[in-house]
Amino acid sequence: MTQLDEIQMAVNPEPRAPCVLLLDSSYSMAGDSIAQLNDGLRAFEEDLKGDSQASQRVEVAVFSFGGTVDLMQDFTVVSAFDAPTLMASGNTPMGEAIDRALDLIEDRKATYKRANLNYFRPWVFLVTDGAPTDEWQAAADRLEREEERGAVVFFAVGVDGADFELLAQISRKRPPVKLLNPRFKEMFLWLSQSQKQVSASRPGDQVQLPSSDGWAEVPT
Amino acid sequence: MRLVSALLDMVWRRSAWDPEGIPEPVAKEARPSAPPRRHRPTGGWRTVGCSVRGTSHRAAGTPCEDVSTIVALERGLVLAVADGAGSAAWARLGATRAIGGACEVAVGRLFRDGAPADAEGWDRLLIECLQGARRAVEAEGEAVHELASTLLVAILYDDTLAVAQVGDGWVVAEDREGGLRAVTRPAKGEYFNETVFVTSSSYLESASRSVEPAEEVTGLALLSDGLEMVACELAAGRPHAGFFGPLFAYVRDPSDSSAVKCRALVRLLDSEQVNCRTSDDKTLLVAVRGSRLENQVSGFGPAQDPRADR
Repeated sequence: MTQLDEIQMAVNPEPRAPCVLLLDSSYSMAGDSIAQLNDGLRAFEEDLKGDSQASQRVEVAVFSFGGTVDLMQDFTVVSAFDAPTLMASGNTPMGEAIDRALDLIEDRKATYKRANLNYFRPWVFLVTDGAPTDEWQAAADRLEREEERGAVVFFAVGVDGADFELLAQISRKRPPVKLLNPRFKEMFLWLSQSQKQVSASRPGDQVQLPSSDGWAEVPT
Repeated sequence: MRLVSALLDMVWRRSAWDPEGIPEPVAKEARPSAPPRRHRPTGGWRTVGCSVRGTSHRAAGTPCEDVSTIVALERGLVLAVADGAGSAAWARLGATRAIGGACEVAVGRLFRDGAPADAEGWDRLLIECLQGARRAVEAEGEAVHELASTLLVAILYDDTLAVAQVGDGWVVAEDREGGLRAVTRPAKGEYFNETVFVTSSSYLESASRSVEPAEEVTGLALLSDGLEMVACELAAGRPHAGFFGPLFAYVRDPSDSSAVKCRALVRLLDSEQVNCRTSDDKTLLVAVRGSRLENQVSGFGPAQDPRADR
């Protein structure tokens, strides 16, 4: 944790809502898909920044996985978040990306505890147009255990071309959702609205998530 | 002294009143044969308090789901706060029942058996209060999770302070030097939006309880979590001295009547400064020891002290 990060912790006593984005930036995303993904990410940033409470509470981290897994943005409150621009290249190391997201969340929770900050259940939001090219079973098992004990909430969204059967073996608690192309922006706005709901919830509240009808294919 | 000046500066405007926010009538001393008194002794404690509907509840048309009461006894007080869960359909009813059940046990036991002899006895009484709250909620016959609420119960009686807490909220004690501390700890889950309710299966194990001598306690405040953003330093986990210092001083100040203080409190809790920090219902109950003179008249001595009937 940088000193700047520590200062951020000290001056903002709001409870934190951590959200990790796992974004597929493999070669197959090149062209329209990656451009729309980047646009969506910026819409996500703008929408959350427009909510004064959420911008102090939601913390975003962004991993891209394309060839390598890169932490494009470590956890930061939305008010200090600049959406990174992703470039498409390489294969799809999804298993490693999931593992590193879970590691990052564990570290972040420890940081919150040290700083005496309250926090909400972290979200991991994965978007992919393919299937993992690395060893993913161990990461999927770990993810299942973590979900089982309530450590994270995991969502998987598949873009056209994604292997939904395989995604369902990774996202076991919640079946993967199919993105209506090219509704990246609507999807990210749903995510920011959801994070607003989560970060505004009071003890004892049940979080009501907005409808995903505008961007997700309804399973038939 | 920002709070006091804020309190005093506020001009009484009828429009500022929220009928939901007017404090529930303080229950009369439960002993029916008690002779009428000009002064309620309450062991020398003076109180103000109210629950005020939050802006989000007002906007959504839901009632104030914080419920609170102060029961004045000959030798002390029972104070209780319940915060009905946002996810519960009958949150206000559940909170009301929880308070009723807890106070009935506390007041009934103190009248029938007198004060418990030792700390273990007090602790048992606290557990019985929580069980009484649970029974009263279950007696409604609904699915209990639709009646979920948190519960704070504080008993100031003779020279004892006994407090039980289920779920979040704060019970803050002030000592003679002006030191402030949370008497009990909120039972929380790992996540901020999780808490324990009277209706949770783990309500007894996760309850925080405290029994201690009350000699050094000069002020006590109970608040629901709706106020914690304003009144507490959450990161440090302690009450905010800038809030409670002036608050206890104001409640102690004899120049305003308690009716005036109650109205000032309602206005404070419904003020722009508070509402911009929280949209939730909020409750604040405050008890302070009276002045030394009052204490000599009606204070810590035995209840039969003839001077108490002055």
